[in-house]
Amino acid sequence: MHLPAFQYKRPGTLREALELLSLSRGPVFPLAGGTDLVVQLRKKSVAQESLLVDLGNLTELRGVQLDSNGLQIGALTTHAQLAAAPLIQTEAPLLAWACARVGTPQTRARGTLGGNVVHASPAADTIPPLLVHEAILVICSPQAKRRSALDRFLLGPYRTTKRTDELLVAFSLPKLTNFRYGYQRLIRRQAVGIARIIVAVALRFEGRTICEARLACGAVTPVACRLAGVEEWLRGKEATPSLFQEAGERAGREAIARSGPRWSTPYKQPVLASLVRRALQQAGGF
Amino acid sequence: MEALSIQIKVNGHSHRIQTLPNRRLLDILREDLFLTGTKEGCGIGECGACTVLLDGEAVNACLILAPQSDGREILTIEGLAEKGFLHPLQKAFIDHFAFQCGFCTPGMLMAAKALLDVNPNPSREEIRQGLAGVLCRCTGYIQIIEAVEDAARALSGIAGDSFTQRKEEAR
Repeated sequence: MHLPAFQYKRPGTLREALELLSLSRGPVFPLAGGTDLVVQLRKKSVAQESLLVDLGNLTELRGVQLDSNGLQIGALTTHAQLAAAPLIQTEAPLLAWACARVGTPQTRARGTLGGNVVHASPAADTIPPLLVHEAILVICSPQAKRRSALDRFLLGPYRTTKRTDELLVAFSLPKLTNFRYGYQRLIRRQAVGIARIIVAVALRFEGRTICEARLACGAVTPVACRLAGVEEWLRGKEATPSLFQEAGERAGREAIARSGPRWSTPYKQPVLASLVRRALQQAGGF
Repeated sequence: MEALSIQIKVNGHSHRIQTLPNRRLLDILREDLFLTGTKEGCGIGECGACTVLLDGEAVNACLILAPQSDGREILTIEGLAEKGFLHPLQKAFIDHFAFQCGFCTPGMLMAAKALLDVNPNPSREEIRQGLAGVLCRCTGYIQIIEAVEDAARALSGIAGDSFTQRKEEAR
């Protein structure tokens, strides 16, 4: 099977890439890992008269660094690189877990963090961990560089604030100290498939008391989101199994209130409640 | 659509190839280089039949545009055996009857090779994870996993407990 025809350019620098994106009159797609885009290109409606701007040579958009502002992650860093990076494992273990589970070894070797976020699937594996970290996105156009919080960047399923002349170039994750983490993911088959429910949790304790809770869920709401009501409710309370049980039930209600009742609600609500309880227990160490 | 010139190294041999950008690495391997051991199954990165190693990493050749492979080194199933000797993984797959129709086998072998290259002594769970990107609809996977365990032992110099050997011991 051959793909329909399209135009292809491989710029050597970020500036060239941004110029190509802004000058193109027809549909234009930045090509990162290609694990989503190359599949979409099979459709003639997508490929026809479009320009692909291959970002493969922009090595400046790869890699992970820790500086005084936290973790800086290049948008073209692959899932496999992130899952294996010691800095990600220690500073952002939720992201390392998510990156180690997305897709298959083959797609993790190609798929990039920037691609996963810009594609903006409601079930994107990396988004709930990035929401817990309150990640800031660095987005460039030929004229300007802007920064956006991830929750404001995501507009809806497969929709973001990124304009076609812009590129997501980096993520900045403010450093979290003394947090403990929990991550739960429900999927029909442990590889290839698409997550049905994702829960990412970070808790900060003083003794047994929770002083800060961050809780994000994916694949249950149109856009992955933090559950602020449950986070607020948990703050200042002593961690017990019954507290986590109730937090799970509250999370189920809060998520359904956001998505509206759907045919899957009788299944998803109690399952989300259990996954949130488990993630909290994992973070709480019991 | 303009043709591009790409330079790739496949199984140790360098090739300069003229190609249109809408062809995939899979098309180059099968149609230009006649390396038809790499199979096309789903074409959307789910079945893993087209798995090859790109600079040592297992990837789906159906998801890589030909120009994206420019300057890279590729290993396909045809490059696995060395100097006429089967790779220990290939030997173990035969010993364990780790295939029936054989369509997924090149992908399985390349995924297993990528795994053992970075993790020479994987646990059973790590093998399952390493092979999770290749679907087999015949075997039920058990023989495949056992073959990879056996090949790992053979590669690390420990006497393989191959099926044939065990069969002989049973006599």
